[in-house]
Parts: sequence; C-alpha cells; structure tokens
Amino acid sequence: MAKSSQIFAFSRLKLSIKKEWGENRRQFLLLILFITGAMSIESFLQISSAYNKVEYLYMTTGGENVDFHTAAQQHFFYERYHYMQHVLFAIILVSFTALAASLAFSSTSTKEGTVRDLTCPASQTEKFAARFGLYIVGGWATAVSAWIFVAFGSYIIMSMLTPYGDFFHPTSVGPLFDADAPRSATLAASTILTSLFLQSLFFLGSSFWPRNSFIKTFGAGTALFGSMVLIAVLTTYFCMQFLQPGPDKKLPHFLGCPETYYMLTLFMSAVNYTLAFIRYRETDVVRIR
Amino acid sequence: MLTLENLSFGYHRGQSVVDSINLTLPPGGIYGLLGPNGAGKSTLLYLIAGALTPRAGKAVFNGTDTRRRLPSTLSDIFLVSEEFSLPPISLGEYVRLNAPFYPRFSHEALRANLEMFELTPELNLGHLSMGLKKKVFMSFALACNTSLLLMDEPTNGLDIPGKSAFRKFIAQAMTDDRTVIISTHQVRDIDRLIDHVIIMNGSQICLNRPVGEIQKHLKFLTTTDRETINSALCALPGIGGAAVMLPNTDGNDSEINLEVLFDFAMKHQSALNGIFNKAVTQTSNTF
Repeated sequence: MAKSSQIFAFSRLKLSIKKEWGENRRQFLLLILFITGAMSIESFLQISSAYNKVEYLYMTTGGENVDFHTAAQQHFFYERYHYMQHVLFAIILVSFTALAASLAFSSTSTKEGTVRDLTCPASQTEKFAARFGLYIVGGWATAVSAWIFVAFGSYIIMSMLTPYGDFFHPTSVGPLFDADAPRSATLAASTILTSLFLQSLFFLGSSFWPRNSFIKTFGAGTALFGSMVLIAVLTTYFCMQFLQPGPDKKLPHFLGCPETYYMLTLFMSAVNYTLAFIRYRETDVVRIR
Repeated sequence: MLTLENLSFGYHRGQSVVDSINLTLPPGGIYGLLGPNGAGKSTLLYLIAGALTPRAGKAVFNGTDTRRRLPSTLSDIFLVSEEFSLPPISLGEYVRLNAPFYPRFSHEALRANLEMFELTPELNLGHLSMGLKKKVFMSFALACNTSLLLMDEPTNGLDIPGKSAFRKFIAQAMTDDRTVIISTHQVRDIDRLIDHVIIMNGSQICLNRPVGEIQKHLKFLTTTDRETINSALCALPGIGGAAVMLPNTDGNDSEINLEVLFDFAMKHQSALNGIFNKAVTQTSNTF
C-alpha cells in the first residue's frame, strides 16, 4: 500500500501545474486569444447592428423620447441586443470550455510526449488534477474573464465613441439570473450544467484520443447522443402506446422535471471524470492491441 | 538494486517481446544492453522505467515495483529514450520547471555536462537540431543524479566529438550508488565504457556477464594469421586482419571486442553459455 504522500501532495501538484502551464504556454495563450477574439468579433457584429437601430431611433425622435429603461423599449433593449449577445456569448463559452477540455491530454498524443508525461516524478493523481485545474477550472475562469473583459470593453468603447453608452451597458448574466425573467433559474442551471457535462465529455474524449480529440469526441458524442435520442423516442412511444392506455396519456412526472436533468448531467459528469482518470492512470507508452 | 522478476511483455496477444526475464543488477555499474533491432531492448527499458505494464512479472527498483509509478521511484529513475521531445522553451525555463521534481538535481553538474558538449546554458530548446537536443537532454538527465539512469541508443544522432564527450561524461558521473543501463546496437560506441554486458536476442537474455569475467574466459585480438583465424570461436574479417575471439588460455586480459562477442552470441548462444558454465564448473571442481 502506497503512503498517502506518494499519491497526493500539494507541493507536487503545484509543480505539475507549473510544468503543464510552462511547457504549453503558447497553446494556453492561443486559447485565451481565441475566446477573447471570438467574443470580440461577435460583440462587434452585434454592436454594429444595434448601433444603426439606436441611431435611427435617435434620429427619428430627436433623441427626446429615447429611454432604454422604459417598458416600451424593453423588448428591443433585451431581445434585440443584450439577450441575443448573451445567448451568443454563452454558446462561445460552452464551445470554448469544451475545446479547452479536449486539449487536456494533447501532450500525450505522441510516444515521446507520453514517455515525458509518464516518467515525470509526480503521481498520476497529481498530473490528472493539474490538468483538471488548468483545462476545466482554468477553462471556465478564462471564459468568464473574457466575457467580462469584452462586455465591459464594448461598453467603454461605445461610451467614448457615441452618446449611447447607456444602451450598450455590459451584457451580464442578467437574463439568465434575473428573478423576474420567466424560468431564468432553470435556464441558468441548464446552461451551466450542460457546459459542465460537455467539458467532462471532451475531457474523457481527450484521455481516449489525445490527438484531434475535439473532432473525434464531437463525432462520437453526436453518434451516441443520436442513438440515445432515438432510444428515448422509441421508449416514450412504447410507454405511451402500451403501458398507459386511456385518454390521459402522460409521461411519468420525474421525466419532465428539470431536477432529473440536473441530477443526470451531474452524475454523468462525475462518471466521465472517473472514466478519464481510470483511463489516464492505466496509460502506457504504447497501447496494447 | 534493480531486479527483474519473471518479466514478460508483448504488444500483441500471443507475441512476446520480453519473455520471462530474470535479472538482478547491483548498483554501481554501467550495463551495456546489446541486441539486434527488435530484440526488445527499448521495451525492456520502458518496463524498467514503469512506462509499460508487464504481462507478467515485475521490475523492482530499491524494493518498489516501478509500474506503480510512485513519485519517490520516478524521481530516482531517469529514462533517456531514443525518441524524445523537448518543449519549445528556453533551457533555463525547462530546468526551472523540471528540476524541482528531482531532489538531487545539481545545477553545477548541468553546467559542467553542457560544457563537456561545448554548449552554454543560454539555449532555446525549440531552435536546436536533434543532435544538440540529445546532448542537452543527456546533460539534464545526468544532472538529476538519479540512482538509475536508463539510456536508449544514446549515441544515435551524435557527432564524433559528441560520442567521445558522451563516453567521458558517463565515466565521470559514475558513483558507487548509481546504475546506468545503456541500450544500443552500436556496440563500438560503448565498448570501453561498460563494465557489464547483457545481450538480448529473441525476447530473452542470452548473455549476462561482467566484463572482467568475459575477459577472463575469452581473448580478443586482430590477426592475419590463418591458423589463429581458423581455430577462433568467431572471426570477423576486416581491414588489417580479422577480429577474432578465442578461449583465454594464457590468463592475460585483452580488450573486449563487443562486435565479435555479439556476433558469436547471436549465432552460437548455447556454445557461449557453455564456455562460461564450463568455466564455472571447472572452478567449482578446483575447490
């Protein structure tokens, strides 16, 4: 039985994180540039479109009746700009975190890289935890930071260049967490949990296919998801058709409630990380066929 | 102390690259692991380093199965594999990131090793040729001061001065508690360096003897004398005469010609073992 200090030590975890970051710094910087760039481009396109409309509103009313907080302009205010930007930012965030997770084991995509990784004097648990910290926790931190940076950046630039700074206030997570917005909590939880699940899936994919992991996991995940949907549709049809005869054909309540979805995604994420750890722990220089 | 206990491995089912190898290597020696291509030398080194999972048996280093990949074991073993990669960062940065994993790492030793290869510490690993990368990597490996140093084809890709410097720096770095295993098929590069010969063939070890014992029982010389060539256990023709291997009957040591020994081991494995076993029997009878 190995001593616990041989399985996990914070000093070695710190060294492993520093090593992973230091040796793959270029990749991390490219990732940061990628998400900041993607959000900036998206923000620029949204602002360009919204600016023309705001300008038109000012022109037609002489600027006197433009109040972005009035109920009359709420629809335009949220739906046409902030809500749309929020949704697109969220899509970029989810895609980015999945992409970052898919790169977690990319350094072991070659025999040389695998030897370097396996012979590094840290436990497999520490090396795994270092990757989890950098690519999963770090992926989220980077995505949220980029979101805040771009949203505030857009606001500051538009405030300086135009008189409509008030309209371009930073797009926050408001539409998701706004208590007054219908089903906001459900939407927020679903988005975050879906992102966490996708991260775990791509992290697992990276442990199986370190090379071109994103594409391979995307393909395998799509095929798996398609099969599951098909099975679910057929099962539901079977249940509705045969098991509950009568006019009140209903699915069991638990299938429709969001908590079931939350529990399922959390459970599946935990399963994915466990499988990834087992896979990584059993990694050898050459995979035996 | 490194012990291989009934170690077996194969990349495919039903195929063995390493087959039931039993071996004990006491510390303080430079072991030359020789064998033809595909004999399983690199695989054996990966198994010793814990980078492969044996099909059966285990490699035990200082009382610990290396496959467990415990940090304490890994920090005392360094593998210079034939195929290796270095990150595209400066050498200083590489040392800063990797040296803390090795408790006995010596910056002075690194500087001295680099000097031996006529290199300076101000290098960018991303801009080096393969030969220079190898020199830097070997310098770093030796500076880690691990008890077990595994080197797979270390002289591949080195220029002539590099090979000479390699021999010098391995010899200088040897201590009583350090074990170096050098796997190669370029036997001439290490013939004056090693003090123990291990020859692998057909997934098994066919010779495992200290250099002193080989010299005691076998004699190596280069000759043009037809009679000597005909009576030799093995002869390899060359310019200036044939390199021959004979039973050592006069008791004088000669410098081992690994090429001839290797050639004989490949062709007459049982005869070679017979020479040593017979010698052992004779010695036992004397007592």
